[in-house]
Amino acid sequence: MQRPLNNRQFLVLALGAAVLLRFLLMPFFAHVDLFSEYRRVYYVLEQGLYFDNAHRPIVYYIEMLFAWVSKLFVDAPPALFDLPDPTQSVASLTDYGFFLNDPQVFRYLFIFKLPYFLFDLGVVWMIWKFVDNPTHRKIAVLLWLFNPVTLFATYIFGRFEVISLFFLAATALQLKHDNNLSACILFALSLHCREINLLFAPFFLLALIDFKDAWLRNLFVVGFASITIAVILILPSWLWPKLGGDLSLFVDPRATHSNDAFNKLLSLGYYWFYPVIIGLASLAIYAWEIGDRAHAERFVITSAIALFIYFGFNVHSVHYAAWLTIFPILCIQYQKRVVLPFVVFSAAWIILWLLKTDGGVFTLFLAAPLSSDFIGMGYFPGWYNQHIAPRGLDLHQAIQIMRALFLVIMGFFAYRVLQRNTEVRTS
Amino acid sequence: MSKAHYRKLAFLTAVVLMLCTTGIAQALSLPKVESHDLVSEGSRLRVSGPDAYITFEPYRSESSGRFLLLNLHIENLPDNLDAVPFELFFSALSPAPHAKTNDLVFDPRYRVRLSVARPELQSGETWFAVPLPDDRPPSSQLRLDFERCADCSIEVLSHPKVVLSAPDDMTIAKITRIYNGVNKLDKEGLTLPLTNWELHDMEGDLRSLSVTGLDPFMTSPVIDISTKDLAGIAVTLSRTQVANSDYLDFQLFYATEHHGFRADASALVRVKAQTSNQYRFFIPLNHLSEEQPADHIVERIRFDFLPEESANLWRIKAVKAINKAQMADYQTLTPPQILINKQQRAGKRQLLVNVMKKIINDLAFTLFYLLLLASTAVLFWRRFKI
Repeated sequence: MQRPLNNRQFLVLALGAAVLLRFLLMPFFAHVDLFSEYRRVYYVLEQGLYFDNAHRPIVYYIEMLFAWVSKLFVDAPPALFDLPDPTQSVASLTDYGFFLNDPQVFRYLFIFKLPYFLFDLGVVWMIWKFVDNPTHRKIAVLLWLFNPVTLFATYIFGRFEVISLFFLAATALQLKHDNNLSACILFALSLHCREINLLFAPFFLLALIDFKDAWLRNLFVVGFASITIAVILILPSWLWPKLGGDLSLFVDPRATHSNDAFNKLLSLGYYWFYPVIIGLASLAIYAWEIGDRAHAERFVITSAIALFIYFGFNVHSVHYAAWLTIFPILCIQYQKRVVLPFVVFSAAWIILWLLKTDGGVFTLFLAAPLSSDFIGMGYFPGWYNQHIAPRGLDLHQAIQIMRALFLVIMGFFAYRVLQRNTEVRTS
Repeated sequence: MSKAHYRKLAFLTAVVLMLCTTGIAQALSLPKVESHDLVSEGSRLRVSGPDAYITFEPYRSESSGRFLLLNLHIENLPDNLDAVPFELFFSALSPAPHAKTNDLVFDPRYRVRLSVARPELQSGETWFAVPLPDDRPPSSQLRLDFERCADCSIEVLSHPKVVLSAPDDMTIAKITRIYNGVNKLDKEGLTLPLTNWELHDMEGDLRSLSVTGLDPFMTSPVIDISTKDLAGIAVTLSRTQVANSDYLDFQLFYATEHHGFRADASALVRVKAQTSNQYRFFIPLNHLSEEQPADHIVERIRFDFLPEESANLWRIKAVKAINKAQMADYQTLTPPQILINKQQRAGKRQLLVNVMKKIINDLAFTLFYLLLLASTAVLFWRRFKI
């Protein structure tokens, strides 16, 4: 009779399959954004301008460290990453074409994604430590390792979302262990990875309140946490100029919107803005009302719901959906049945982006490192317009229907997270 | 019967014979043509698609005739068309054994581009003569394509005829381009002549070029190279003054039988400015014959210098078409920074081959990568089995 896998065997098997899957994707797929990102990194390494307040300093320094080490293995021709004007650092298709045709393109892509891979495994470790129940832990790890959204965002599109998610998961873990100061620092560091994390700040501060403690002590804790986060947030902007950093190295002076994190958050497109405000305000009340629960539980649940509200009414890039993954997965620790909504969400995300893609974000353009013949191939809206639209449902209508369904799925997710704690079953 | 009756009978017989002879002659002179993207409206053919042409077997008065006589009447020509363009294909290929249609296929390497003045096709005498190339391949069938004639109504008034010489008073069509075969590359490739190149925003000759404007390029004369064995173009040039930028961009355009010079049929290379100012590089064009839709002839090439902010001086030392047999020798001259814009796509099998070739091209990485995959699999499996 075959014995079930023990925890160690399960972890080894799942990790082995996941690592191989990631290795298979790493060198062969990318979006032009990954090349633009590393063009900036190589520019800084080349020019020695290390103290520039780049868009996301934590991500930026991690990438810079790996790029610096990679120089031992890759002789990057200067022409390939040449950036004549840093304020125009988004690569043109011509520049990207040179990159794609470079004989060493697979090395670059593999090395560029290495930090993401390590932080991805770091998230696995965080989830493993965060979820106590062995069965729940396995479900959580499987959801993380094999969900198509983070696999796509990290290894096919080639963006750094997992670094930000790692810091958020680490924050939750520190809260679980009542290490509030570490949690504050890690949360503040996450703000230097993605501006969206500012959305969680009120819920993080509310989660620090312990309703069993005196209000003065809580006031001190929240005040101290706020100051710690604020100091870490503004530290680079204050410190780097003193170290000779140029604060506007990659900022396009002709750009219409500000580089400031809060403005970026507000400037993202919303289908309908007021429900977001109403939803987040209501969520803050809910966060207060569940004050009897553990710090980490409050943080994880309210952050997950905040994202569901945000994504329900927001126009987002294809890889931003990766932000939606970590908090629902951590919710499994609190017996939330998120597997079915997670599967439905993944499927809806694929269908939505097949319909909504432009020529590059969800097409075989991402396989162009393998061959430039893939550019222009696999454009689903073209197929849809040819075969489905003439039967009555045009592309715009189909996209609107999928957006509406996506909102419903966010509601389904929220319902399952807000439900009273129940035993988790695989759906 | 009286003599009068005999006379009447003779007269009637003569009339009947005359009518019969005229009828037969008229029947014989009715043009027999097959058409494509043309619909028949009585004796006329109206253009109904983007690729309108007629195919026919001309009468031959001489086996080695040098002129094709055509008698066409065309109406509804575009208002702004003073000279009506045609394309005459003169080498029909044998149908492929498994061809799905009975339509004749004409070899694009053998054709004449011509134009006829508008009045010649619309009033009075509508005959005109098309000079045919000497030493053309034998073919009983010809094909005449109607260009820029989307709404035209065409009447073929007489059956086309090949003759040794055109009547003195007949209009001779203006020939704009003759394709009579292609230059096949031998195993040593083909060195292109450095004479008769057209210059734009440049002056001098190829051995001493000076840039005079912001868009400098040079266009080759007609070269008509078969793409069958063409691996690419190798260029050797030097700069006779110190470079004022770190990198130099060059762009090679190629005009084929399907298109002129266009950005999506070009290759852009970026090379580091050398202190020696000597440059030699190879631009692969093997995709032209290996991928679809294939181009068969490279008619001309154009070489652009980008960017050229200042008045630079260049010397072109050699431009050579490279045979596929020489590919191994020239592959190393391909600049690492190259961007090939092409209209062709590799088929599924060829695409797979190209992908594998590209991966294996970085052999060190491929070995590392395979080792990494194998060792990862073994490592996890061993840990799992403990």
